Amino acid sequence: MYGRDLYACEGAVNEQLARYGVKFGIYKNNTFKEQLFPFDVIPRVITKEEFQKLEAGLIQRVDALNLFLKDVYEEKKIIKDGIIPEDFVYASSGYLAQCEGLYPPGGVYSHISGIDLVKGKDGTWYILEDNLRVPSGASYPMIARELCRRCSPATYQKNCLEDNRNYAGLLRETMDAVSTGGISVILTPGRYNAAYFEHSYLAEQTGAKLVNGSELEVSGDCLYYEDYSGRKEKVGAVYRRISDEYLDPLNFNPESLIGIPHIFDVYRKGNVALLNAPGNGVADDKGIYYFVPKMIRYYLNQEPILHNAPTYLPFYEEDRKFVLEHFERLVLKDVAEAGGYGVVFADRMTAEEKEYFLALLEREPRRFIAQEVIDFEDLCIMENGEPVMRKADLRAFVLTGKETKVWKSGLTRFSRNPDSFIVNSSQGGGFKDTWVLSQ
Amino acid sequence: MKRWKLIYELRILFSEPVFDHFYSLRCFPKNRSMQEVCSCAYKIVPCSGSECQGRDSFGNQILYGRMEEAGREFGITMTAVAAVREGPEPEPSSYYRLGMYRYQTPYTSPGQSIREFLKMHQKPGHETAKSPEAPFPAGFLNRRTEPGAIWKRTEVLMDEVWNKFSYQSGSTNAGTTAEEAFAQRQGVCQDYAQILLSILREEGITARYVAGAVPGEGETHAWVEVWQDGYWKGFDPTNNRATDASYLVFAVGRDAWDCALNRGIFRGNAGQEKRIYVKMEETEHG
Repeated sequence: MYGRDLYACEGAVNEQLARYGVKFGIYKNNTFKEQLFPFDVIPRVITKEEFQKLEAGLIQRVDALNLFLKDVYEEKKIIKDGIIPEDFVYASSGYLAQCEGLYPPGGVYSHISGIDLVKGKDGTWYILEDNLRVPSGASYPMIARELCRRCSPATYQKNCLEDNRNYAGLLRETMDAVSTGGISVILTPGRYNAAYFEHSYLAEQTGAKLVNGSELEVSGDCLYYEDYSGRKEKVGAVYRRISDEYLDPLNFNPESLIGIPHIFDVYRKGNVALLNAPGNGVADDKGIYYFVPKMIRYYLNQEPILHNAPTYLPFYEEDRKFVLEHFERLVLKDVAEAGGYGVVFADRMTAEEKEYFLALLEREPRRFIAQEVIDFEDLCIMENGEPVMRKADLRAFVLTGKETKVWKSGLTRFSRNPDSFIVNSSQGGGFKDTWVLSQ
Repeated sequence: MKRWKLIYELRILFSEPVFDHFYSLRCFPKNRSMQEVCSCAYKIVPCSGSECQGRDSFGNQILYGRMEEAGREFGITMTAVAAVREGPEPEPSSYYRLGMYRYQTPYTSPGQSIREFLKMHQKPGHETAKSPEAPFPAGFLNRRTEPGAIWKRTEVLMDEVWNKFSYQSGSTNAGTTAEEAFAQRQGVCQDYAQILLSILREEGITARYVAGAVPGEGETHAWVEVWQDGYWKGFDPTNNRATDASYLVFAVGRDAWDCALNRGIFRGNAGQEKRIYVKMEETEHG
């Protein structure tokens, strides 16, 4: 279904991606290293019917997560009704007491959600994790599609697939839906951030201004952007790509140099929208993940359309027993870590590591979740001109403004190591375009 | 009921001019059921004008802004009259909505020395609300829900802390954690309060930090409030006593950082010298 000419353009597309600066920066041993994000030209293809189910499931999940965030920072009914133990809320590093009782503009908490899924060998999709803080990655399939279309226009004429170049439009719509009036900006921590390419690309594509903290200023009760000539414009929406703790040195980490003093105070007053809302970390840590299907039943009174990977919570006596009995076949994840860090496969531990880990588990049962290792589908990638099979996942992007919509594409990441299940780009993986067929 | 006239003065002198100076102030008496603010006026030094008022998530009044001009001085003079009634402060929110006051923060998290203290003061089989299985194990429920039981337990723990800890001004600073202070066995009112909070929270008790003023101190004071059955009761661990109508509340929060009466950041490599003056005297008039 995709022509020879698409295969042939792999080198050219990767070359152009490098020229556009499509890179991933990572910190290793305290030094900043930039590396290319290798693109594999063979797309992941999702049929129309399959995507419709994914879409319904993702909308349901993100709607429930937004309701959870509202509840957690206001009434806490889900705790009162005994669905979620309060430990999983208040002891979470993502919970911010500063957000208690705060109603964000438009009532939306997670505007841009990056939901990671894998497809099992039996064809079932499983949710691996929710990313509700600053999920990155949409720009990569956007620009890859754009470049591939140029190299191989015939491929895109022959096949009926959803155009994914509308992501910028969806993002714009989302910012406009919650804006309190004024311009929209994308706030970047700067060029040494892992996703700097994405920040600049999304700014260019959406028409929002790319700014750093020193170009924004709170004056009176509002936030302003000041350009090089000193002209001030009111800001109504900030798509911020810096984490909560660095956002405002007077309300969070006082050491932050990249934040904007008092931005949280004007946000609290409803005078500027922050995308995503601060405090979302309470809903996307690996501990709370266990409870998302329960949230869907609790808030929406529906059965979850998409399933979690089978997960056990050592916090509960029953689950702890199960984990100890079936230890060898499970994967253990530290709830506070992200980006593929803090993930250990029990069958790969040495006897010493195992002993250490079991003691840790006994001492801090809340800190870990245990999951069945899902034997997920391999996708074909080209390596040195030869097709090989590698593990891959999918990050779907779900946007919530006036309503919740799923972008008809996504970031497919694959592991370049044939023995690895970890596909995170910070661990050196590559990516593919994701095709959603339109008929 | 007692009626108080209060003067709070803060002056920060910089060794050289600083610029981009942003500040947040929480140095105002709080209006609440048991404390009525009759009047309150303030003046920012060197000049008022561009500041804004707000309220934080703990319900404290904040005044925030930016000094427009580079300067070597910053401060505020606040005068207020407030009437304080004796007795615990009613809390309209339910137990479930007060969870943030039951959990440790980076300032109150216990370490070895606080854990050892707890071990000594919890009899074998002692149940706390912190059992992972349920927020209220049965034994805990029976004992602790008796009216005032949590407050009685607080008095016991406060007395033990008071016996083990001594007041020594200058021995700690604003960033000292409860564990650091307790390990050296000395500190100031902020440390007393955070240590007691750490211990109470390890027992699953809902408790919060209070910043305010008492007569005759010349500076601000800090203590704790402990929740039971819809009321917050004040305890002053520095003086090993319950609070009364002589305690004027400015701000409440999880720890000293939440209640910082003044926070600021600026550019410039200046040294700073901070002076605080508090005067609180009983008055007949509003």
